Amino acid sequence: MKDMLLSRKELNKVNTCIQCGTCVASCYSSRATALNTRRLVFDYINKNIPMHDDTIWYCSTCYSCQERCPRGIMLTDILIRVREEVAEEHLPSKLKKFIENIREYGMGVPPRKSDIDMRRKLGLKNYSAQFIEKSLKEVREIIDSRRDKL
Amino acid sequence: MKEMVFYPGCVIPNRYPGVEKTMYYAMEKLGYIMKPMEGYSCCPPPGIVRSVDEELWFSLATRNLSLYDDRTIMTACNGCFATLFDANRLSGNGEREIRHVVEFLYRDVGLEKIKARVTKFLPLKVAVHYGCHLLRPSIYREVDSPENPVILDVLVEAVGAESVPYPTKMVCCGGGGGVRAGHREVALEILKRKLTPLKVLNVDCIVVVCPLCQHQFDVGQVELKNEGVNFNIPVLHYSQLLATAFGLELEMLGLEAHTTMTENLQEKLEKGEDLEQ
Ligand code: SF4
Ligand code: SF4
Repeated sequence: MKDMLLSRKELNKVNTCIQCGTCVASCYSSRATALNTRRLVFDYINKNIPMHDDTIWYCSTCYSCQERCPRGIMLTDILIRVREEVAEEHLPSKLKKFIENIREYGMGVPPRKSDIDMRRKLGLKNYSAQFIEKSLKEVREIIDSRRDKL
Repeated sequence: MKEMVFYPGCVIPNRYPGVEKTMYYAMEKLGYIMKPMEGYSCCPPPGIVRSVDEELWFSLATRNLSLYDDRTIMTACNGCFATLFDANRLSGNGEREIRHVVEFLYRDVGLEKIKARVTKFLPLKVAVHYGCHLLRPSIYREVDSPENPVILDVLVEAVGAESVPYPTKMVCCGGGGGVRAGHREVALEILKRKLTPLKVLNVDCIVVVCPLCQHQFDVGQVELKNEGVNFNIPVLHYSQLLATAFGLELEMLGLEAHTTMTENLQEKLEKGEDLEQ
C-alpha cells in the first residue's frame, strides 16, 4: 500500500540532484516565503528534515519544480511524502480541522446556510454523503480506521 | 444523449453552486446527461489529505470511484480531477475514465460543435488561468503542454471572448496544497504577485476551470483589498461562461456567491454581442 504515488526507485533519484537550483527558480512560493525546494531535497538526502517548521506547508503543490527538474526528480511528490513524516509530529491545526470536517460532514468544505439557500434557488439537489446516512457512516469508518495516523 | 456521472466535490456545491448548475445545463445542451454522484464525499485533496496520510487519501478516493459503474466520471475541479485521476490510475481500472470538463470539451466534443450551440456570443476580454493540477504532472495528465497550453484559450474564443496573454499566466493562484487553508498570508502574497500584471490589462474577468482557484481569486481579492491592495477583477468558471453563451439566464449563474463582481461584467454577460454590428 505504501509507495503508491512514489516508488522507491523514484525516491532514490533524489541522490542524482546536481543542486542546479531550477526548482527554486520555478517556485513562486519560495519568492514569497522561506520555502527552498533544493534545500529540502538536500535535507531529505541527509535525513535532516526540520520537524517543527511550517515552511514545508507553504508549498502549493503546483508541480512547476517537478516538471522542470533536469534530473526528473519527483520533487512535489517527494515533498508530499516528507509532509507525511512531518505531519506525524506536527500537523498545522487548520489542516487537521479540514480532515475533521470530512469526518463530520463528508466534506472538507461544508455548506453554510447561504449555500443551501442558493442551491434551492438554482434547483440543485443535495446528494453528497452529508445528506445520506449510510454514506456518511462509510466515510467515518474509513477515517476512524486511520485514527492512529491523525 | 450519452450518460455519465458528475462528481462535484466540496467547493463547487458549497461555495459556487452556480458552477454546478451551469455544468448540468451546458453538458445537457451538448447532448450529455450527467447523473449526480449520490453519496460521494470530499475527493479528498492531495495537498492536505495525501500530505497527512496517503492511505486515507486513497481509501476515500476509491470509495468515491466505486459508487457508480459508469465508464465516465466528469469533474469540474482541478483538485478533484487530480485525486480521482491518480487514484483511478493506481487502482488499475482501465475501464473507467476520469475527465475534466475542459479537456473533455476540447478533445471529445470539439470546438465546432460548441460554436454551433452558442446563441449569445460574449465579447469579453479575459485572462485565462489553467491552474496546476489539470496539466501537471504532465507525464500522467497528458492534457496539454504544461508550459504553453492552448485548450482553454481556444475554448473561451469559441464563445466570442478574447484571451489576453499575461506574464503570470502559468503561475499558481497560491491557494492549493493546503496553503490557503493553513497559511492564508502566504496564499495572499502569491496571489498578489499573480494578479499584479493584470492591473494594466483591463480585463473584464478571469476565467478559471477550478473552484479552488476561483475561491482563492474571488475571496482572496477581498482579503487583499482589506490590506489596501485593490484589483477588483471578477472570476468566472468556464462552465458559467459556456452556459451563458448557450442561453442560460444570468440569475441562474449563482453570481450572488461571488464576492468580487462588477456591473461591467454583468452587463456584458447580459447583453452579449450586438449581432447587428
Ligand atoms: S531542479 Fe532537480 S537537479 Fe536541480 S536542484 Fe532542483 S532537484 Fe536538484
Ligand atoms: S510544487 Fe511546491 S515547491 Fe514546487 S514549485 Fe510549486 S510551490 Fe514550489
